[in-house]
Amino acid sequence: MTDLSGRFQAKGAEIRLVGLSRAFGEIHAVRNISLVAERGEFLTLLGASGSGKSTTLMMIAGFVTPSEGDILVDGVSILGKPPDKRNLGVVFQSYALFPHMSVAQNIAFPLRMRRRGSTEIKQRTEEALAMVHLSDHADRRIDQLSGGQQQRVALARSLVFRPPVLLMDEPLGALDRKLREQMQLEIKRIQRSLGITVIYVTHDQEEALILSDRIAIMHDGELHQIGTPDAVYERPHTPYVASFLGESNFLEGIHEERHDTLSWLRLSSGERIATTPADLPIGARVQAMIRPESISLSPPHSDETANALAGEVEICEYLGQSIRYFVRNPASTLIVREPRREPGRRATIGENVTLYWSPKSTLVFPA
Amino acid sequence: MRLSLADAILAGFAGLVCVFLVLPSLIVVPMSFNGDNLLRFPPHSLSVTWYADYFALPEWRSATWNSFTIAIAVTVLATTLGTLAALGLVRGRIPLRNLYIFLMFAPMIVPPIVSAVSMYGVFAKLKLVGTFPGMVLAHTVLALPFVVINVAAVLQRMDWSIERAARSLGASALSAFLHVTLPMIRPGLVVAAIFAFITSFDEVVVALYISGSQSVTLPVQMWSGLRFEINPIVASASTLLLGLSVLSLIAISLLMRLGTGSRRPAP
Repeated sequence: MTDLSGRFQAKGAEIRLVGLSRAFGEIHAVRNISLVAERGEFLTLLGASGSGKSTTLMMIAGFVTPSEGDILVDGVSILGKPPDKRNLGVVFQSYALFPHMSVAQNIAFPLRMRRRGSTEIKQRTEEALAMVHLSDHADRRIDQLSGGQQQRVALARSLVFRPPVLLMDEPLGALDRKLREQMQLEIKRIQRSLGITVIYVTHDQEEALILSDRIAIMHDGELHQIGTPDAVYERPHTPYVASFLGESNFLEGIHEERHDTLSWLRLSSGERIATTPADLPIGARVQAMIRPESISLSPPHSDETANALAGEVEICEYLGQSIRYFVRNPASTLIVREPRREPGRRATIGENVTLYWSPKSTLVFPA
Repeated sequence: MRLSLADAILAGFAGLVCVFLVLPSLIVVPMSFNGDNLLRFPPHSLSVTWYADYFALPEWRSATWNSFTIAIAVTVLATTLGTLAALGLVRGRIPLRNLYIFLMFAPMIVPPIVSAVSMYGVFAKLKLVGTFPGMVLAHTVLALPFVVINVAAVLQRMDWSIERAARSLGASALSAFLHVTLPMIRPGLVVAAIFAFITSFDEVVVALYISGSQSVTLPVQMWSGLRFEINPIVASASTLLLGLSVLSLIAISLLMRLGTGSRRPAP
């Protein structure tokens, strides 16, 4: 692995979005987004298609004009600048390589546009090729490359002019799983060694969790939550975030009692469960969220209070590292994910089981 | 079995099309090598005397020269304007887009004689009849739709993020067009240019009205060659035109194959 820190001294810049909105006619593609990507941070915009994440990225790149709001790079607005004057690297989903140019010509393009000398262009193109391990492919035509190699060319081309920020729009969407995992490592390695700020757009939650320093979850043009991967997974602010990131169970009920350390809900089935303390009025309709891996088929070892619900196993899926059960209870069908343990107890279809989980892993949202 | 029957029927129809559509045009080739003073098939004696006359007589030479210069000017003008129009129609969000499309394509739908008469009316007032600019303008109007169709087809296939990529890499709008878009649509442009050239070079109806006596083109000269006398030079001129058309067709089909070959491969 080449150490790039010496030669590629691109220092990351801070990107600040202030109340950024974009309306297409009546449709609000992006609504009042404010966030900051710190210098050298890997920030992912995560959301389903139509969430406004790509529109946000294209506004930063300069291809979509915001209806409202501002975009600041290191405190300076770039709204008045055309895309070619923003000096941001952009990697497109389709790679957008120039089919009439060789690999080396593609990578040299941004340097040619900046009217650099031929010796500098040659040297920096070679460095960029080495960075993505494509030195042997400099003279190939683009259509002679595999998808993964094309992706590397696109990456090298967007970094060769040492931009302080790299914008990536679903760059790995077209690759198969194995190649995708390999490229994830590669992107992370390059980002770390260059110290560059990355704003990465994806709909793949697993990819977002692996790559990001922080994740911004978008839905219907709005920013739902921004935080570290563990924060957004473990402490989702909205039911949407909870259901979009990983699997989750939702139980509907009424907020009955509120104590310092916990709240009590009455479920539609009449049973009561304890949850984390809810900042919601007594009597309000609420929904409780529990992650499948927080539920166990065995009672807890400590004498800490645990919720217990009875149910019948409907489906049982063997996933290798874990076993996933769908358990039907009068209130709902719950997903349970138990780690596979050697002497562990396994339930079978039709068996009546009791589900145990801690009030601490039960989050409450307004219904 | 079914397949070969279908193939046989297809081959049969293709053969009939050739016999009825192409063969009658080819008859001018042997006729042009006829030795006597008449247009005659089959030829009685072989000679190249009508080719010699074609290249020697000033009216034929100037008609050929006019046709080439007019067609080249039309090619440049129509390709440039048509490309810009196609860019605007495919990419721009322009008001009254459909009206522009309709107006631009009108010369393809309006009968040539109607175009000819109406252009004559306007051009006569502007004193453009019988002039080189007049002929170039008239033929550019006729060639424009062919250019727009061809260029728009290529533009519609193009992945726009490629031009965006060029912009993000530091190319101004003009540089991105010159360095990226233009090379990518070049095969379509060349096809469009050939169409524009042929449209002008072969055109006779509008030319009959607009060319006057000063800028007689080859098709007009051939027309008068048949109209007032049965001049066998017409056959040799036809043969040369036929050769030019065949070469253009071959060029177009080669370029179209090239164009599809250089498209972006699936990742």
